[in-house]
Amino acid sequence: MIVEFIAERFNYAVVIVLMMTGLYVLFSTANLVKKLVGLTVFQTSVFLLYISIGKVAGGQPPILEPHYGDGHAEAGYEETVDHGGDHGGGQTGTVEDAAEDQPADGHAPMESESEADPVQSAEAAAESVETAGPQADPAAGAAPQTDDPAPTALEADSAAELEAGIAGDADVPQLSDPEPDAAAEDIAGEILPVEDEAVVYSNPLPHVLILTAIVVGVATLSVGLALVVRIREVYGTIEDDAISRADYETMAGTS
Amino acid sequence: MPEIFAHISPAWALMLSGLLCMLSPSHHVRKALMIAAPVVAFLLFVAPSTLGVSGGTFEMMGIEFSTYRLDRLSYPFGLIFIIAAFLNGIYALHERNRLTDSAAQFYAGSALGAVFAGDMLTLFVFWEITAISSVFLIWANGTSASIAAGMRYLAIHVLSGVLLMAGALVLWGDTGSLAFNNIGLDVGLAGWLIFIGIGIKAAFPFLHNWLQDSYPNATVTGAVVLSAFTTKMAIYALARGFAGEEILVWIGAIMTVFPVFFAVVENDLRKVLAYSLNNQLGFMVCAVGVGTALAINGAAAHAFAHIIYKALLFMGMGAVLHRAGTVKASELGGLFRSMPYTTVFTIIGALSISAFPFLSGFVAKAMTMSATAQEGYIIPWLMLLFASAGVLEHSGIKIPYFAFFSHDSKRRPAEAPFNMLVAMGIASALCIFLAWPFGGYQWLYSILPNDLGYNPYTADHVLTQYQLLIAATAAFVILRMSGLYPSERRGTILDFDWIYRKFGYGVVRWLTAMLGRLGGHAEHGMEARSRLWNKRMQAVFHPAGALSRAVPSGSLAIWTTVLLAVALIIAYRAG
Amino acid sequence: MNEFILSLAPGWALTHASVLLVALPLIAGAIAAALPWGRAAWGVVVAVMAASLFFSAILTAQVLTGGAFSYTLGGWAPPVGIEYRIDGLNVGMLLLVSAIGFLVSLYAPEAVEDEIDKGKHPLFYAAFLICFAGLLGVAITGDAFNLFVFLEISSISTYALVAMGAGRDRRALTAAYNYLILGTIGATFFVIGVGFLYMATGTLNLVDLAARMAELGDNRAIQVGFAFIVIGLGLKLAMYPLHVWLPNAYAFAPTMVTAFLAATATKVAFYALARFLFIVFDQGFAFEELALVWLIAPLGAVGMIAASIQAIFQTDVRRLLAYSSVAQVGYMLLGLGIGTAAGVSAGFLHLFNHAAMKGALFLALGAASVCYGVTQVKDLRGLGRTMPWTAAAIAIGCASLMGVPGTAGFVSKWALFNAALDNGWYWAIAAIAAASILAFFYVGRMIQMIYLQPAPERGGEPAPALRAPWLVMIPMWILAAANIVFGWYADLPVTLANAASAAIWGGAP
Repeated sequence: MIVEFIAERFNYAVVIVLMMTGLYVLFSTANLVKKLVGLTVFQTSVFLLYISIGKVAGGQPPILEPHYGDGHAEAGYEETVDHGGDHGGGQTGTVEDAAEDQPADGHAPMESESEADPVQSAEAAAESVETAGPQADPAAGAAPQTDDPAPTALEADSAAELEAGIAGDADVPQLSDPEPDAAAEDIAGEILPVEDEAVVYSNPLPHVLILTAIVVGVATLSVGLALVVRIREVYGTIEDDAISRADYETMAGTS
Repeated sequence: MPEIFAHISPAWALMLSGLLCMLSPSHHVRKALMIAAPVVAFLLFVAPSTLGVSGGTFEMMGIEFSTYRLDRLSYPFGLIFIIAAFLNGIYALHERNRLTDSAAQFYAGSALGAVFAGDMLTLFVFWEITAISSVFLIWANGTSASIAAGMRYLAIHVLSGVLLMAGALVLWGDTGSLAFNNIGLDVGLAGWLIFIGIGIKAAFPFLHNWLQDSYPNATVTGAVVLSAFTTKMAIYALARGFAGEEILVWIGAIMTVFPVFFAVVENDLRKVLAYSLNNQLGFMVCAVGVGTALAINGAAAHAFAHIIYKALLFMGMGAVLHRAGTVKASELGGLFRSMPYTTVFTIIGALSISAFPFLSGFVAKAMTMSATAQEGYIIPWLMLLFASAGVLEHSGIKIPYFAFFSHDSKRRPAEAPFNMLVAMGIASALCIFLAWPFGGYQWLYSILPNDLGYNPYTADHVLTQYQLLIAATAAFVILRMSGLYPSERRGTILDFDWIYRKFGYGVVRWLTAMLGRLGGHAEHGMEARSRLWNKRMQAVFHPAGALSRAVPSGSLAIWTTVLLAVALIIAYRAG
Repeated sequence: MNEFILSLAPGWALTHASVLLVALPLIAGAIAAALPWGRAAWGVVVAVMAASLFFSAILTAQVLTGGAFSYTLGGWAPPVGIEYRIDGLNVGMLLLVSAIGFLVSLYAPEAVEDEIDKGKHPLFYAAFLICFAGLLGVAITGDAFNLFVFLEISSISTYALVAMGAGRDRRALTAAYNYLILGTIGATFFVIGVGFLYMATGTLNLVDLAARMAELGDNRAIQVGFAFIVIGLGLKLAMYPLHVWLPNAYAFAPTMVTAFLAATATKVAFYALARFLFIVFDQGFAFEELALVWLIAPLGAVGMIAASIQAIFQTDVRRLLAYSSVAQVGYMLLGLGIGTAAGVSAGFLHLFNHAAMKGALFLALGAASVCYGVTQVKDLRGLGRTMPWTAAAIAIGCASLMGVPGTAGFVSKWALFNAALDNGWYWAIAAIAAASILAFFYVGRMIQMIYLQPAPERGGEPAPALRAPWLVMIPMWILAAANIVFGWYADLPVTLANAASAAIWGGAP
C-alpha cells in the first residue's frame, strides 16, 4: 500500500525535494555562484515537474516508430511531403482523413507551441499550411499512432479535434480528479487501452515546453555568471556580505 | 463694466497675474501686476448689477463645476479678499522675489476662488491650491526652521483637503449632489469629514498648531498674506455649511480663551499675533455656531474687519522685523523714537483688535456678543468676555508696548519703507472708516448677509466695552508694576525653536510646550526622547537602514516564500 | 481619430500589425547587435520604435472601432497554435510600451554616450530592442507559456541593461544580480503555476484555459496554480514586500533604462496579473474574491504607505522615485483589489498616468545627471535656476505624483477614491489619503531643493545655467505636458482604462 502510494508519487516527491533544496541554497549561502547553482536546481525541479505531467504510462518517447507504416498504410515517415490521400484503410481511417499528411510534420506544432521565435515558427507553420490547408490539425500527427480513445469525437467534429490538441492522448481535461498530481499517470494508464497494434506516446508538449524553459534557464544562468564575473572584477569578492559592506562604505562617503 | 464680465470669477484675474508673475523676469512688471490684478478683480467683482449670480459653470468628466457664486454671504468675503490682495501688493512693493510674488497672487486668487465656489469639487480644487501656493511663502524665508515648518504646514493642509474631498464624495454618494450649501453634522460621516477638514483650516483647538508653527516662520510679507486668507476662507466655509451647529459655539468659545495664556507668555511677537489670530477666529466660529441672522452678520463683519487690522498688525511687526531684524520682545523696545509712523499705525491696529469703540473691531465684535447673549449662551458669553479682555492684554497692549516702548533696547532702526507705510496707512484708515458712526459702519452693515438695522453705538455697549478695557488696562498696569506680569526675560525658556527642526513634531508641539514650561529638565527630557525617536526612524528608514538597505538577495527570497504560503492558504481556505 | 489612423495604414499592416509589432524589434535587435557603430544602431532603434508606435496605434484603432480580435500565428487555429489576442485590456499596454519606447529612444544618444562605453553602444541598443520586444510580447500573446517566454526575454535583457550602469556606479552590478535572482524566482513560480493549470485543463491558450476552468470548477491544482501565478507576477510587478529588487535596479541603471523600465516593465507585469485574475481565472472561484480582498488590496495599501515612508528617507533621488514607484504600484493593486469595473479601470488609469509622471521625472533627472551629475537629492540644489526647463518638468511630474488638481495624478486618484467609495472601503480611502500626504513630504524635499536652495558654486562662481539638448528636452516635455493635458482632457487614458475594464466585464470599449 504505502509503497505503492509513494511509488506513484515518486516523481513529485523528487520535484519537491529538489525545489526546496534549490530555494534553501538560495536563501542560505552568501556566495553568488552558489546562489546561481541553487537557482538552477530550483529551475530544474520545475523541468521535472513538467516532464512528469507529460508522462503516459507505458508510453514511448514521442518519436515516430520506424514501423509506423506497417500496421496502417504503406506510407512511411520518410515520405515527408507527398501524402495526398494515400493513407489506406485501417481502423483509424477516419482519423487519418482528418490527419491527411501529418506524420512528418508532426514536429511543427510542437515547435510552434514552444515558441522561441515567432518568426521562425510562423515560417514553419506557413509551410505546413501550404501542404495541409489552413485548418490543419496538428493533433493528427500524434493521434493515429497513439490510438486516441476519443477518435469518434475527432471524427464527429473538427472543433473537438482542436480542443484535444496536442495533449490529446493524455486527455486530462475531462477528468476532474481531485488529485491531479497523480492524475496524468493514473488516468492515462486507465483509459488508454493499449491496442496491440497502436503505439502509446508520452505527451510531447511538456517536453517541448521544457526545452524552451531550459533555453531560458541557460540564458539566465549565463547572464548571472557573467554578472558574477564582473562583480568579482569590480569588488574583488563574490561574497554577498562583503559586497554589502563595501557598498555601505560608498554610501557613507556620498551621503 | 459690461455684463459679459459678470460671469467671470475675479479669482481668475489674480490667478492669471500669478502665472504672469511666475514667468516675468522683470520685477517692475511683477509689481505692476500685483497692484493691477486686485484692481481688475475688483472691477470684475462689481460688474454684476445684481447679487445672486451663479456663473462660470463648465462641465468636465461629467461633473459640473460652478466657479462663481456671488450671493450675500460670499459678497463680504470676496470684497475683503480683494482689498487684502491689494494691500499686500502695496506692502510687498519693495521685495524682489519672483517666487513669493507669484505664490502670493496664486494664494489670494485661489482663496477668492474658494469663496466663490458653488460646488464641493471646485471648493476642493481651490482649497488645495491655497495650501500648495501658500507654503512657498513660508519656505521662502529660507531658514531650516521655516522649511520644516512649511513641510508640516503642507502636510496638515493636504490632510484637510483630503478630508474635504472624502466628505464631498461620501456626500455625493448619499445625496447625489455636489452643491455646496448647508450641510450640517446630521448627515453623518460626510458632515463630520467635511467639518474636520474645514476645522483644520479654521484652527480648531488641537488642530491649530500649524498656525503658530508656520506664520511666525514666514517671510515679512508672507505672514501678512497668510494672515488674511486661509483661516477666513474656512470661516466662510463654516458659515456656508455648518451655520447654527451648537458644537461650534463651544469650540469657538474655547478657541477664544486658551490662546490668551500662550500669547501672554510668548516672546516672539509675530507668534503672539498668531495666537491672537486664533483667539479672533474663536469669535467668528462662535458666531457661526450661534447661527442667527445677527450672528452670521457678526461673523462676516468680524472677518471683514479682522482681516484688515490683523494684516495691519502683521505689517507693523513685519516692518520691525524688516528693519530691526528681530521680533523677540526681549530684544526690542524704544523703537518709537526712530519708527514713529509704524508705531502709530500699529497702535491703531492694536486698539482695533481690542475692540476699542470707534475702531473697527468694536462694531464687529458687538454683534457677536449680542447674538450670543440673545440666544442664552451664558457661559460662552462669559468666555468671550474674558477673551476680549485677554485680547487687549496680549495684542492691544503687549504688542505696541514691548516693541515700541518698554525698556529702551538702544536700537534705532530706520523708519519702514515708504510702500509699507502706505499700506499700513490705508489699513489704518479702513480701521477707522469701518467704525465711523456717520456712514462708516452703516456701509459695513449694508454689505453683510442680512439687513437688520443693528446699532453698535448704544450707551450700554460703549460703556460696557470701556469698562472692560479700563479694567484690563488696569490689570496690565498692576501686574506689570508688581512684577507678576510675565516679562520678556522669560523668553529664553520659551524659545523652542529647536523642537521645530525635529520631524513630526507639529502634532505634539502643544504638549511639549506645556511640559517645557514645567521646567528645564522636562525640556531636556523631551529633547532626549525626540533624538531617540529620530534615531529609531532613521535606523529603520535610512538608505542604509533596516528596511531600505540592499539586503542580500537570499533573504529577500524568503519573503516570496512567505507570501506564497499566504496565497496558498487563502486559495485552500476558499476551496 | 481612429478612422484616420486606419485610413493611413496600408493593407498588410492592418492584417499583420500584431505580429510585426513583436517580430520587428526582435529581428532589429539582432541587426543592431551586428552593427559596428552606436549611432547606426540608434538609428535602427528609432526607426523600429516609430514603426512599433504606428502598429500599436493601428491596433488601438482597430480594437476601439471593431472590438477584440486575434491573430493566429502561421494559421494554426487556437488553442493549438499560438494566438495573439488583442483586446481592450492589452491594447492600452501596447500603445503605452511603444509610445514610451519611442520617446525614450529619442533621448538615448545623449544619455548613452554619457554613461556607457562607446564600444558597447550597439549591444546596449540590441538589448534595449529585445527588452522592448519582450514587453510587447507579454502584452500581446494569448498563450500562457508564450507569456512566460516573453517575460523572460524582457527580463534577461533588462538584467543586462541594468548592469550596464556599472560604468557610473558599480552597485549597478549587484542590483542587476539581485534583480536576476528574484526575477528568475518570480518567473519560475509563474511557470510552475502555468504547469498546474496545464495539468488541470490540458491547454495553454488563455481563452481556452478560462473556458475550461470555468467548466471544471474549483480544484486543488487550480488553487495551487493560482497562488504560484499571483506571487510570481507579484514579484515581477514589485508588489510590496516583493519590491526589494526594484529600488537599486532603478537607481543604478543607466538613466534612459530607468525611465523606460519605470514606465513600462512593472506595468506589463501588472497587466498580466490583471488578465490572470479577472479573465483567466473564473471570477466565480471562491478563492478569487478572497485573494483580492485579503491579499492584493491589503498589500497594495501597505505598499502605498510603507514605500512612501521609505521614499521620504532616501538620499539618492532615483531611489526616492523608485520607492515612490513601489507606492504607486500599490495604488494600482488597490484598484485591482477593489475588484469592480470602476476599480480595475481606476487601476489602469493610474497605470497610464503613472507612466507619464515617472517617465517625465526620470527623463528630467537623466538630463540633470548628464549636465550636472545629479544623483543625490541634495545635488538638486538650485536646479530651478541652473536648468529652469528641466526643473519645471520635474516640478510638473512631482505635482502629478502628489495628485495636485489639474494634473493627471489627480484624475486617477480621484477615480480610485470613487471606486473605493462605491465599495464602501473607507479604510482604502484612508490609506490613499495617508499615502498622498506622505507623497507631499518626499516630493516636497525635491521641490524645496530645486527652488529654494541656492545653486552650488563651482570654483567660486555660481554654476552656469544650462539647457539640456533638444533630443532630451522634447521627449521630457512631451511626457510632462501629458501630465497636464491628461489632467484636463483625460479622454485618451480614460478610454483605454475603460476599454480594459470593458474587456473583462463586457460592454462597449
